[in-house]
Parts: sequence; structure tokens; C-alpha cells
Amino acid sequence: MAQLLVNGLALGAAYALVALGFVLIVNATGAVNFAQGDLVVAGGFLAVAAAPLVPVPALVLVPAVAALMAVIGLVLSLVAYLPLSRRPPVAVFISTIAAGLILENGVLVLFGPAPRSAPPLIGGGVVELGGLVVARQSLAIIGVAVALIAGQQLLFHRTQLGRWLRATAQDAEIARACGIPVVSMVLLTFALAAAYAGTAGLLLANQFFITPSDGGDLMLRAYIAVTIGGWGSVGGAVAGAVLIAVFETVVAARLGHPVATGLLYGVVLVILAVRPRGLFGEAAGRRA
Amino acid sequence: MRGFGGSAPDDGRKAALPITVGIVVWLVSGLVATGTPYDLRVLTVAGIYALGALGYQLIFGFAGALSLAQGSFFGLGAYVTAILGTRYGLDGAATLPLAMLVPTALALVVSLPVMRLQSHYVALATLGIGQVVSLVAIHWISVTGGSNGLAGVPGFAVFGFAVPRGVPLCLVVWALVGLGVLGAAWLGRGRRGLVLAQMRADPVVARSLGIDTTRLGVGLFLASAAYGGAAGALMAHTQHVVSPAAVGFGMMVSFLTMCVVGGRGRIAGAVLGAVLLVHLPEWLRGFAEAERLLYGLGLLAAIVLAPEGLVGLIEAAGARLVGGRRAPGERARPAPAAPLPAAAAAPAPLVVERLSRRYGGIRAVDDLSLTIAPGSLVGVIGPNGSGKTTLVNLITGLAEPDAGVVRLGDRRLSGRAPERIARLGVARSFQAGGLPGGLTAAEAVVVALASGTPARVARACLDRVGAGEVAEVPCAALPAGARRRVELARLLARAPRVLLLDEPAAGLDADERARLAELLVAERRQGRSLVVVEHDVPFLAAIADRVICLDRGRLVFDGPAAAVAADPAVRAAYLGCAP
Amino acid sequence: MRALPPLLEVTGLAAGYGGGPVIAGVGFAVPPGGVVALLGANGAGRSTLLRALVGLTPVAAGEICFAGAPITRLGVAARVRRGIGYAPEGRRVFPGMNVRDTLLAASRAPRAGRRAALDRVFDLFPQLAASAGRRAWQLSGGQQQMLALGRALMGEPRLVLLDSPSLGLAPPVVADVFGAIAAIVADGVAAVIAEDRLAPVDRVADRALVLRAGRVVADTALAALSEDRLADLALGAAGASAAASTRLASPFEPG
Repeated sequence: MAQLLVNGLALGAAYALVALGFVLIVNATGAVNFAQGDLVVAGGFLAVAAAPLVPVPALVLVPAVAALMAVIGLVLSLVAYLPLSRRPPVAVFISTIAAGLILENGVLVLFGPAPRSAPPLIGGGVVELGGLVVARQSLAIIGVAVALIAGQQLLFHRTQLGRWLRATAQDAEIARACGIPVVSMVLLTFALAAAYAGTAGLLLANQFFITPSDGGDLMLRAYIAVTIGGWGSVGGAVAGAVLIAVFETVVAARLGHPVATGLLYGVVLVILAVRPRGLFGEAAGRRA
Repeated sequence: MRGFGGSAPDDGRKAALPITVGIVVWLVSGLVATGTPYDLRVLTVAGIYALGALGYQLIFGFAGALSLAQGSFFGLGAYVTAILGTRYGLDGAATLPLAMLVPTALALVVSLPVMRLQSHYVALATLGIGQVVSLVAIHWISVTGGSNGLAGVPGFAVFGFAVPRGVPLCLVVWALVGLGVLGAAWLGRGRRGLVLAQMRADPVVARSLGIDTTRLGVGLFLASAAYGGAAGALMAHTQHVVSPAAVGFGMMVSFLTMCVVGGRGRIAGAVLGAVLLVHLPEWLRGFAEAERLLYGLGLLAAIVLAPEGLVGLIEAAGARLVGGRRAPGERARPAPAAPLPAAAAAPAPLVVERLSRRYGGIRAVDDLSLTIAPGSLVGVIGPNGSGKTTLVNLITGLAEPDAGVVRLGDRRLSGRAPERIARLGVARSFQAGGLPGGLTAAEAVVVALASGTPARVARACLDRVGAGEVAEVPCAALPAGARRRVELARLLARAPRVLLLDEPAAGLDADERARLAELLVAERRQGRSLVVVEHDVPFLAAIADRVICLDRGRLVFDGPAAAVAADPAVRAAYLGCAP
Repeated sequence: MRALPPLLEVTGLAAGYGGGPVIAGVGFAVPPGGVVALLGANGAGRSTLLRALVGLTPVAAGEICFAGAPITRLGVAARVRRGIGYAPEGRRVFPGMNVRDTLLAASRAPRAGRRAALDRVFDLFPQLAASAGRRAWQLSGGQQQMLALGRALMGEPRLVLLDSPSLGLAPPVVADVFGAIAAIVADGVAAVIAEDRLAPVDRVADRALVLRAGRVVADTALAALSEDRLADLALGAAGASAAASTRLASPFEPG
């Protein structure tokens, strides 16, 4: 059971990075980024592609993948968000569906449909921790994710750039009236969200394998995590992601994956039926 | 279901329908006459997609809801057909109706909660439903064949008469598409089409005009499911194989892409989008692997560069062509004389009794009582946040009172839905008007008419407010003053007993204000009760029998308009002087 | 006063969203260090005017000159950079950010300048210094208002536009807020302060601009304006103004 929990936490750590990017974009733009899952896939396959070129542990690849993904995120915002920022939110929703489709099929054309695996972060095998046998990769995933989330917190709460990003997310119009370059902050948010999603892809690609069509499921999990964590709440998104992953892992171990996934969606549908605006409504006052 | 759809397309211009039908007829007839079996097969598949996309257009384009369940409805129809066909040997006479019925039943079960959802949560919920359907298709192996799906579905036949592949099947499919187009045209035609445009532009305003938006939304959702199921059945009979891909998200994205590329909200757009996107990979053989990549690029290009889709582009080109030749006078048809609608029921007093409503800790309306006699005009003033708009919302059902009651004569208004209250003869305006930009002024007024009232009455309403000359102008092109008048005409079309106006003079110049004042006085003489929220006291003084002043949700003044500016309590409340 | 060229000069300004201009034909000037009270009933267009000045509401006609240069066609950020600070109606603090971060976010200066600006604001508002680590949504209304004022000052402006700083505050808190505003203008910062009433602004302002229905109905020395006269002007009581405030058609002209 404890073993299972560690696996669940490792999965949750990766999901958390996806959900974190998702919620940052929601806050900065009010838009749902439907391509978030496909950014994960793109990051995973970047790692797959880079691995044979660099004979080092994948941990070293993290910054490279993150940087490349940030560029992709920037392009995404320039192509699929900025031209539509004055149109109804449904337009951005659809444009990110399109962007996701392009990413997914771009990966498919380049790599084919088979599941692939990236190299381990710091090597395979297991370690023993107080009588508990734990996969080294699980610990590495958790470690990297925690470091990245802590990094996001530091950036947002300890730097001037972070203050500008947060002010933009809280009230873009007034941020503008404070002289903050709001458009740049939005672009940066997309870059950051893509970098985190891509890193999540790298983390997932080793332990759980990755196929080009995984994006939809990952996006949906981020969407659900943000919905149950309180729309707009960063902490809630991370907590929601971990909750979903642990729920899935534990239920899947007992009843199998299909039942776990089905139950997850079932629970979400019931929540939406009872609370049409999400579990905590639209978190207004306390986000960021 | 509100707030996300935004301003969607308009059905005002119909130039594209004949053009597109022409293109499609030409394409179908040309291929049927000369096409290879392969060409015919592609064309048949295009027809099947067209049917599914037509259904999606009903919920996405007509109702303005971003449902992501169309792929599931399609796949469900396909599986029902495959199971009935392979297990029980049933043919199209049974599979087609059942394949339509099963998704419709699923839509019915989920529609009430889904159509209640706000903004993007419709997408999340329908996506979740789709994922559950997909999981069932993959894992209920004994029934669905799991990942392999079901093979050996018999070809399309009706009561034992097989429809052979090639030309006959293609024609049958396209005949069904024709039926689908007729059905969609019927659903979106005439007054209902206009009502849908209003519902997309602003569902709250639509409800205040007596439109039951929930019923309309649910109806279209069910219809979209039936179309999807029919398309799925045809696909199963045509391909003879059904796999989980049929219920997958990819299928959903195909329908979405077809509708967006073709033109959201346009019947012709769904058909054109389907034909184009099914043929595109055929025309670009070299990119066979990248077919879905092209879908993505097409969808992105369409949403960014051509938000009205291909049909929108055709319409714009057509309008340029036609518009250049048409004399300006030609647009304004002579208005046939029509009497204004008279109030449906006898005048009755509007009674507000000890009404209270809190928001958080703030008493927006606090123990307020008020009677407004028929044929009187009451002005409402008060500082920001004094509860004026909340009072109007409580009377019209957009907010529920915590305590107290509103009655019109002996009918209780509180607790009824906004559209019910509107139908009892209460009409209101909004600060931001919510006119559907793509409809003409006359069409926007028709939206408000009670069913059964002839549409030409709209013209009389516009004449009444002095907006007759803009009847054929799209609302989006109207200047502020004219827009206000059209909004007023729309309210008169409701034949209201009570008329509530929220800042009707905002943004009007002095002459327009004077005309508005005359108009309001005339309406009062008809026996209507008017409640006018306005900041401009001289404006009210000229027209109101009585002015009330609210301050922090309470009534601080109720008396003749002439006395209001001098009243110490009003001056204190309005200017914030310490009392 | 007359010798100085105006810091802000507005001529023939019309502005508003969609439904037609909310304000029209507005013209006035503010000398360096001058303080103008912008008065009028709700809905008269005070907020729209201030928003148009800072660049948040599109200008339909007219010209805005600041420090001798036209800024009508500049974006918000450029106007702020030239020395305009803005505190919006309803305060609109960033709810999830603490006082310190909110203030620092509103500065575009490098670290040292940022700190100096922060220290000056904290000197001006000791209450803010005392709750530097608290998030804005936890603050009282008065503290939030001071935060909004402080935020407007972080760019070291020469002119601040303050929209209804007394809104929703209890009288003693209003006195505190206006005490702080007095300290700001004592430093030589010019101000346009939108208010409902005369009582709090008459301590700090030297001129008054009264709006009704989007038009200027009075532009006068503050000393010449009494509460009564203001009420007449703002409510448009009969005979109150020679300006085109009551041009209703004759049958409905109040007697």
C-alpha cells in the first residue's frame, strides 16, 4: 500500500506540473488551454529524441527540454492566443484545440504511434527507505516536481517579475494602469506553462511510457484538477492533481485502470451536476 | 450555458445557402455521373460527416453551447447499429431509428444538468461524458468487441431491400443529408432563428424577453444527438466495421473543425466543411500521414483568420457584389400598417412588499415596500450601490428575494423564472442592451413578439419609437441613440403591463433625451406602469408622477418629482452629505 | 498660478464604450501641483473621465495634453511612464497579493529606486508599513484605499487621478484617507479627485469641476462652491445652471 502511495505521488507530481501550467494560463488570460496535454506529450518526445544524442542521465535534459518547450509555449501564445484575445473565450478554446491537434499529429508524424520511453532521470533500480522498497525513478520524479513547483513559488513571490506576473493574473486592467507590460506577462505565462508541461512529459515518459495520443487524457486531468481545486487557485490545482493521481493509482490497483478512470469522470460529472460552477466556485479573492 | 458562446454568427444573410447548395449539387451530380467507385465512396463518407456536423451545428452554432459530446453520439449510433446488425441481423429500417434514439436518450439524461452549467464547464462535462462512453466501448468487450471493435456489419438495407454500394448508397446518404438540412433549416428558420440569435448574443436578455432558453438549449442538444446517431448508423453500414475510434475525441474534433471551417451557425457551413475536410486528404495524397495535422492547421487558420468560416467569406464576397449594385432606397420597404400589440391583460398595480436581498454582508435591498399604480411613471434615483438595479432584478426574477414578495395584481411574481415573469407582462431594459449585432433592428424586435403576433407588428413598434427608418439596418451598425430606441421598441413589442427601464437616457444627447421623454409619457398614457431608473433628475422631473430615492437599499424619499431635488434626505443620500 | 503652463490640459474630450460617449465636450486644465475636485452625481461621467485620462477608456474626440505634449494617442503604460498615477473606483487592490508586493509591483524602477519609493509610501502610510505582509483581501476598506493610493504613487507620478477615494468608508476613515491625500499633494503632486460630495475634498482641492450627464456644468474656484450650490448643480435643480444642463423639450420643462 505504501508502495502504491509512492507511485501515486510520483504520478501526482507529474500531473501537478501539468495542472500548474494550466491554472497559470487560466489566471493570466481567463482561457482554457486545451493544448496543455499535448504540450506534455511534446516534452516527453523531445526527451525521447534527445536521449540517444546525449549519453547522460535524463536529469541533465530537464533544463534543455524546459527551454525548448518554453519557446513552443511562446509560439502557441503568439499564434493561438494573442490574435484572439479580444474575442469571446470560446475562440481561444477552439484555437488551443487546434494547436493541440497540430502538436499531437506533429509528434505522430515524427515518431509514429508506438509508446515510447525516455531514459531514467538518475538511473533505474530501487532504493530501500526504512524497510520500504521504492523505485529510484519515483523519487526522482517527485524530487524534480517539488523543485520546479518551489521554483515557481520563488519566482512568483520573491522576484519583481513574479510580482508583475501575479498582478497581471489578479487584475490585468489595473496592472496595465500600474505600468506593467501585461502582454509580455501573458506571453511569459504561456512559456512557463509549456515548460512545466514539457518537463512533466519528460518525467512521465520514463516510468509510465508516452504515446502521441496521451495529450487528451492529460489535459482532462489538469482541467479536472483545477476544477476540483477551485478554479484559479494555484495551490488547489497542485493538490487536486495529486489527489486525482493517488485516487487513480489506488483504485486502479484494486479494480483496474478502466474502472479507476471511469470513476474519476463519474465523480467529476456528479460534482458538476451538484455544483454547476465547480467545487469551490470561481475562486476570486484568494488565488495566486 | 451562458457567457462562453459570445457573439456568434448571425443568420441574417442568406446569400450563401443557394451558392453552397449549388456547389454541393454540382459536386454530387458530377461525381455520381463520372466518379470512380473510390470517389463515390469518399463522397458517401463526406455525406455521413455532413449529417453529423449538421447535428453539431445545432448545439454549437445555433444554441451557442460548446458541447464536446457529438463524437460520442456519433459513435453510440455506430455501435448500436453494429450490435443490432451483427447480433440480430437487423437492417436500416430498425438500426437507423434506434441509432438515433439511443444517443438522444443519453442526451436527455445528461441535458438538464449540462444545460444548467456555466461557460466552459459545458465543455468539461460533455468531454467527461465522452470519455466514459469511450471507456465503455473499449472495455465492455463482450458487447463492443473491445479495442478490435465489431466487424461484419451488414450493408445498408431497408426492410430487406439492400442499397448497393456506389451510386445508390451515395444518393441515399445525400438524400438523408438533404432531409437533415431541411430539418436544421426548419429548426433555425423564421422567428426561432431570430430567437436563437438573441439567445447566443445574451441569454439573460433573451430570458427577460420571455424566451425559455433552457428548453431551447435542451431541444437542440437532443436534436444534435439524433443527427449524430443517424450519421453513426450510416457509417457503420458503409464501413462494415466499428471501432472505439468512432467514439473517440478525434471524431469530435472532426465535427468541430467542419463547423468552424465551414462557418459557425450556418447550415451550409456544416455541409461545406464536411465535404471539404473529407476530400482534403484525398486531394493532398502526399500528406496522407499528416491528415490530422492539416485538420489542426485548418481549424487554427479558420478561427484566427476567418471566424465566420468559408460561408462567411462567401457571404462577404456576395454582399460586396450585390451591395454595389443595390440602390440604397431599396432596402427600406414600405411598412404595412399594423396596430401596436395591446397589453394582453388588464392593467394591474405592481406591489413590492417588504422586499429584502443581501449580497454577502451588504443589504442591497432592505425591507422595501412600494406600490406602482397602472398608468403611473415612477422615477428611481439613488447613489451607486443603493440597490436600484437589484430592485429591478428582484422584480423581474433575475434575483431571488431573501424575504418579501413582488406581486402584479393578484399574481405573485417572486419565485418565478425570468421568462415566466416576462410572459405575465413585465418588460425590462438593461444598461448594456444585448441587441444581437447581426440581426436587423426589425428582426431584433420580432424576437420579442409573442408567438402568433404577425412579424409586421415589429415595424409598427419601430415606427412608434421613431426608428422606422433603421428597420433594415443590422443592430451592430446602429449608433447609440438608435440602439436605445430599438431596445425600447423591443420592449413595446412585449405589450407589457409594467415597463422597467434601467438608465434609458445614458449616452443620449439632449434632443434624444427629449424624444425619449415624450415617448415614455405617451406609453404611460396607454395605461402601462413605468419604472425608470435614472441619474438625471431634471429628466425625471419632466416626466415622472413620483420619484423615489434609494439609499443603501432603503427608501429615503417617495414623493412628487418637483420636490426631490430640494429634499434634505435625498440631497444627503445622493451627495453623500452626512445625514 | 497663471504664469505656469498647465500640467494637464483637456479639450473637447468625448469618451465611452460601445453605447455612445458617456462624457462629451469636456475641457479643463490642471496646473502643476494643482488639485481639482471632480464632482457630480453618480452616472455623471466622473469615472469615465478619469479612465479616459489614464487611457483605459477609448477617447472618441478631443485632446489630452500632459506636460506640454499630447498623450491622447498613447497607451496606458506610456502615460503612466510620463508621470500619471491612477487609483480606480472601488480600489481594485490585487486581492491575493500582500501590501509590500502590491506596491513593489507598481514600480518600474530598478531595485534601489523601488525600495526608495516603497519607503516613501510607507512613510506616508504608516498603517501600510504595519501590515506589509498581509494580503490585500484581509485589509479593511480604509487600508485597501491607502494601498490603492500608495500603488498609484509608486511610479513617482506628477499627477494622480483618484477615483472616489471615500467610497464606502466610515467618516473617521475618510478623514484618514484625505489626511494622506493632503500629504501627497503637499509634496507638489497634482491631483484630480473624483468625489460625490464636497466635505472631504474641500480640505485639499483648490478648484472644482462639476459634471452632469457627461458634461461640465461648472468649473470654478472651490471657495465659490457651497454644498447647496453643488447639490443644485449635480442634481440639475431648476435654474441652477446657465450651462446646457436642462435642454429638455419644452412640454416637459419643469415649471
